[in-house]
Parts: sequence; C-alpha cells; structure tokens
Amino acid sequence: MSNALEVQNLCKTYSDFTLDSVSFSLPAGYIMGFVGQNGAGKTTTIRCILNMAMRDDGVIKIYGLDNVRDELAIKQELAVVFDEIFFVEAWTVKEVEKAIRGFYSQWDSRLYGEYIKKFDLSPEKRVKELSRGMKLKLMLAVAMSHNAKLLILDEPTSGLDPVARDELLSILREYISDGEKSVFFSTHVTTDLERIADYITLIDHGRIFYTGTKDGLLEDFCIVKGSKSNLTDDMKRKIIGLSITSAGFTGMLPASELKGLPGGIVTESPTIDEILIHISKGGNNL
Amino acid sequence: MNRVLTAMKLDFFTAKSSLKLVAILLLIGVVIGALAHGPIYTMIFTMIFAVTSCGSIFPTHERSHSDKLYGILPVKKSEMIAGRYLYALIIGAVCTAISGILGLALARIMNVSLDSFTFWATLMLAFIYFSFAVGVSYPIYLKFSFAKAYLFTMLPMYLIAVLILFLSKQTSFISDFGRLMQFFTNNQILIPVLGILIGLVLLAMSALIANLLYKRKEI
Repeated sequence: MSNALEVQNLCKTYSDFTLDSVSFSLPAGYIMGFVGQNGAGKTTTIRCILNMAMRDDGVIKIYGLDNVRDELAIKQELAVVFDEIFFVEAWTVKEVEKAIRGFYSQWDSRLYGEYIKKFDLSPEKRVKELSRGMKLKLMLAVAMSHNAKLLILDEPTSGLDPVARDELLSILREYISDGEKSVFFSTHVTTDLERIADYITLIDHGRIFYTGTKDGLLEDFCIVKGSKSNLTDDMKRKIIGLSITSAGFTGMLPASELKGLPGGIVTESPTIDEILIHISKGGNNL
Repeated sequence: MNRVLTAMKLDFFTAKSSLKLVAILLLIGVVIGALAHGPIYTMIFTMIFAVTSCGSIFPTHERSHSDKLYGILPVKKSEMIAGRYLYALIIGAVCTAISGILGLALARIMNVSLDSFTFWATLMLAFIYFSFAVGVSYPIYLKFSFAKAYLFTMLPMYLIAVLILFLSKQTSFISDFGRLMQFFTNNQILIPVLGILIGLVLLAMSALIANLLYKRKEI
C-alpha cells in the first residue's frame, strides 16, 4: 500500500513552540484526522507540509516526492482548504476560476462548473457576500477542480453549523470514493472524525501521541472511574489526565494496563474527544 | 516564464477592484495641473499616483489572506516576485504614457509652452521617481507587510516628490538642470533611453533584493 503522505521526524522550532520529531503516514485512498487542541502543532505541521514554513529537520513526502525539492510537481497534485478563505473579497465566484486556473496544468473548468452548481454557488456572487459555509464550498470547488490526489484541510469545520459540517463530510466521502484520492483533515471537532476518518493522528504539545487506525485508537485506551480508595500509587503514575474529586477519580489508561485493576473500577470505551481531553490534561506518550 | 505571467495576471485580477481609484487619481492630477497652470505638475502627479496604485496590491492581498493562496499554488516565490514586478512595470509604463499624453494635451488646451527637452526630462524624472519609489517600497512590503510599513516607507517618497515639485516651481529646476546638461539638450533622444534604463535597473535591483528577503520568509 503506497502512502499519500509521509512525515518522518519532522522538527521545527520557534521561540515559544517546538514540533518534536513528528512522524505519521497516510496510506493512499483514506481519510486521516489530525487532532489536537489549539496550539498543539496542527497548523505548523501543515505549513511545513506545504513548505510555507521551513522544517528544521525531517522528511516530508507526498506520493513519494520530497515536499521541498519537488514542490511545484507536488502542488499540482495537492489541494488545500484553510479555515479562512484566501481569495480576494471583491472577486466573483466566476473570477476566482479565471484567476486560479492558469496555475494548474490539469484544471478542469467543466468540473469547476459542476461543483459550483452542485454547491449552489452563484457565479456572479462576490466572495465577500458568501456565508462561511459557502466560502468553504468555494474553496472546496477550487481544491477539487484540478484533479488533486491529496486534499489537505486545516480546521475546515470550525465555525460551521451542524448542517454545513454534515454536508462537508458527505463531500469528502464522495471525493475519496474512487479509492485513489486521500484526505488529511486537521480539526479539533472530533465528532466529525468519528464519522469519517479511517486513520487518526493525535498531536499534543508538538509531539505525536498516537498515530494509526481510528478503531485502534479507540481500542487502545479506556476511561477508568472509581472511588478514591481504589486509586493506588501505581495507577496514579499510569493514568493519563487523572482528575480527582470528592466523588472519586477519573482518567484514561492504555488498554494494555487494564489487567489487574482493583475491583470496583469502572472502565468505558472513550470517544476521541475524551482521549483528547485526557491527553491535554497530562499525557503519557506511548 | 508561463508561471510568472500567470502570477502577474493574478495581481491584475487582485488589483481590478482598485483600478477605479487610478482613474480618480488621474483626474486629480489633471485638476492640479490645470489649477497650477503647468502640465508638468499633471505629469509628475500622474506618476506619484502610479506609485500609490502599484502599492495598493499589497493591502488587497493582505486583507484577503493571499499569503495562504501563494502557499498552496504551484508557483515559486521568485516567480511570484517576478510577476509582481512585471505588474508594477506595466502599470509604470502605462502611467508614463498617460502622463505624457496628459502633459501634451494640457499644454495645448491651456496654451502653455512645453518644449521638447522639458517634456522628456519631466517624463523620465517622473518614471525614475516611480521606479525608485516602487523599488524601495516593494521589498519592504514583502518583508514586513504593507500595514506595518506603509507610513515609514512612503512618507519619505512623498517628501521627495514634494521637493521635486517645489524645486521645479521655485527655480525652474528642470530647465536649469537642462542648461547644465548641454549634451542632453543636443541629444534629446538619449533622455528617454537613459530614463528607461535607470528605471529598469532600479526595478531589477529591487527585485533581486526582494527575492533575497522573501525567499527565507515563512508565509
């Protein structure tokens, strides 16, 4: 199975933040959710992938090509949607195509027209007149009209209402349906990922906490709850995001640590949201 | 080269909405020339406004988060910069032509004498001023952003322009300067050649500096 995106030991240091040996890979034909709290390093990683920020160390490959050396070839195959629109506000939907199409050798005007129609975007409407959901659709229409093989989305659902988010997920599902295209989807709205992602990469304070299949993530961790009398020193060391109240304790344990737990402790399958919350409270890297 | 031209076209698309401003500014230039009874004022103001028009591409891009657009498009930073300078050069060339036409037209309408040497010297000084102002401001805008750098970049430029106007009004600066340069008086064809050459060299040097500054900038 070939990889659409491969990041190995990516390092990037700013005065107040460090990406520390970030590694993950997205097999072609799948959707990967890239999850982390605000400031965890999601956007910095994406900026490094796009060579908008220069990496200090590591390797980034897209369909086997180096993201810096082969930047132009890669960007022909790459489509990107950010959390905010990057087209000139005064442009109409029709003018957006005129301004952008010249850059892409495989630009398909017919396809753009189809997306515009499908997304109910009026060709004469100006960018500034579009709602947030419509702006996202316009970015998607541009992103998907040059036969890109990898679609990267950076927090696309933030600020969208549930209906617009649901529409986006349907569009992404349809986009990868040919089995060749892949989606790398950064978000902190984890409910979206539970519905759509095949793979999850969890980043926390610039370090990868988990990367693998979504099912694997949900199987690898367990929420544990119990009374304070059940909480041993050994458990305190192992529990991720331990929180103790007068009613008892709650936290998350790797599934491999569940054996030999004292009786009276309740275990539950976590949601991605719960995993994110627990690692943000204090994660033990795997 | 194709990508440079596409980048330049993108800049024209971006600036499209502000082109109405250029027309208004040209009108102001004509009014100033008419009030001052001097076509050379119109010629100089046209080129001052050309600098403003060229600079307006930066705030438009910044308002639209176009740095992100350039981050995803298959175009090198150096090609984007070359496209931006080509855009400026075309605006400069068109405005120089308009400046010349307006100067001659006003001279005829107002029945003011505008000898050939003054005409070419004014036109070329205005073009050199344009190239200098664009040449200084573009690398600064690319490095620091328009919003942060506009005032401290353009204030000296406007002061220089006012100084040129003041000198030309008080001491017939251009004519005096011309008398000193007998060579150019006798070889007037060299004025536009030299003016264009100086302008192009200024813009080319500026583009090289901009490229060096922008290459390492994270977008």
